[in-house]
Amino acid sequence: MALFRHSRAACRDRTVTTNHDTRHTEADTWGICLQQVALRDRQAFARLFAQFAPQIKAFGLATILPDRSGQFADELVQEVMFTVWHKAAAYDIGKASASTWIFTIARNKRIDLLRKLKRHSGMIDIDDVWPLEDESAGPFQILQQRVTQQRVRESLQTLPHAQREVLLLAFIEGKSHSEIATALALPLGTVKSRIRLAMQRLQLVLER
Amino acid sequence: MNHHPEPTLLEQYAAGTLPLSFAMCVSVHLNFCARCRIELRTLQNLGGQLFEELAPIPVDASLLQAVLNKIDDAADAEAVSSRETTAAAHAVPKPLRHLIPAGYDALHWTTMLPWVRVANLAGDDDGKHHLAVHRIRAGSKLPRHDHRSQEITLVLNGSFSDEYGIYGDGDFILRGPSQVHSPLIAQNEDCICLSAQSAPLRFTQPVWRLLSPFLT
Repeated sequence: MALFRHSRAACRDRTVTTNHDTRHTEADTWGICLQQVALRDRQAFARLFAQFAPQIKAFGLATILPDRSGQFADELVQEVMFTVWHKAAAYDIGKASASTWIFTIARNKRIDLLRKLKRHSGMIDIDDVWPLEDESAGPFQILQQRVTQQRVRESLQTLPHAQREVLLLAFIEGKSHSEIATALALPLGTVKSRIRLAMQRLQLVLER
Repeated sequence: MNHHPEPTLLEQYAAGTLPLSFAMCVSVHLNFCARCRIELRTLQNLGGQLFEELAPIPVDASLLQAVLNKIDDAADAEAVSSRETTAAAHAVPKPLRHLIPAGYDALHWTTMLPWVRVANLAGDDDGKHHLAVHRIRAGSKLPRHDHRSQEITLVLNGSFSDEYGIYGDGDFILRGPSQVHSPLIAQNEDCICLSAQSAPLRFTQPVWRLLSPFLT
């Protein structure tokens, strides 16, 4: 309970520190802020907006667009934050940090907006292909989620530049493996093996 | 379940870079597979952290107001458009509920061979791939065939085996162009599979090869 109050206060005042020891708490803070948004708290929403809209804008600007479409990033910010408001009740703090959850929404909305720009009116629904999870997490998953988050965060810092670069191109710029190969003037096989190495290094894949 | 998407395929799914038809097959597999769901969560966690580390770009103050206005407008129509379907009652995996709203039996089936039926679900945005469902009679055998490019098969119901393994509910199979196989369907029930393919099956035995242009 003490932790909850502390985090809640931090969310309210935006006095969130980013030094190393409090990063974990910071992640929880925004998760708790999202839970307040689920209760239709507009002030919490404004704080969340101030924190994440600039990240979403950066994500939108990293997108390779089919042609001139200057408003894309702003449109993405609006679409994503609108969805955050509407789907906040589906957010499960035990399953994902606020950043991860908002990243998945930004990923989906980017695909949706690009689809509209390219005038595709396909029959396949993006929300069916990439659904936001709706089963709730058990205590074990909550613990596992935290351990994983910590591990990924730490090992991401020590990842060789070449491996980090391919991950950024994939997750942030939304490039396919062959588009990454073209962008870096590398053979497709090299791109695939760099991604595989990065995933091994981050222990992202379970033993098979 | 023994056959899962390989890690780099899950990575592309998590990053949102797979063609829609392939991503749909992964989504259906995830619906069956708790282990891959954990792996996906970890990959999305990676995406979230890369996202968090982006240098923020200032946003115009009017944007927050624009979103709040939109929220107010939408509140009037809050009666959420519930696109309820009966798919659940027909045991169709959730990601397919809009494409197969009334169960497998109600699909528009075309007969390829007396014991093989196919129903096309949707084309992919890329214009190259499409999603289809195949229904193959219990105990039957498919003629030997290869695939013209990368293709995914996902078992929705029933089971079959081929030169490479045995496959049941939720199993995910990625085949390359050179892999020729002759599937054998289990005796107890029809096998229903989802597939993402770029071209129809091509049978490799002479008789079927002659016939195959007329079979689709």
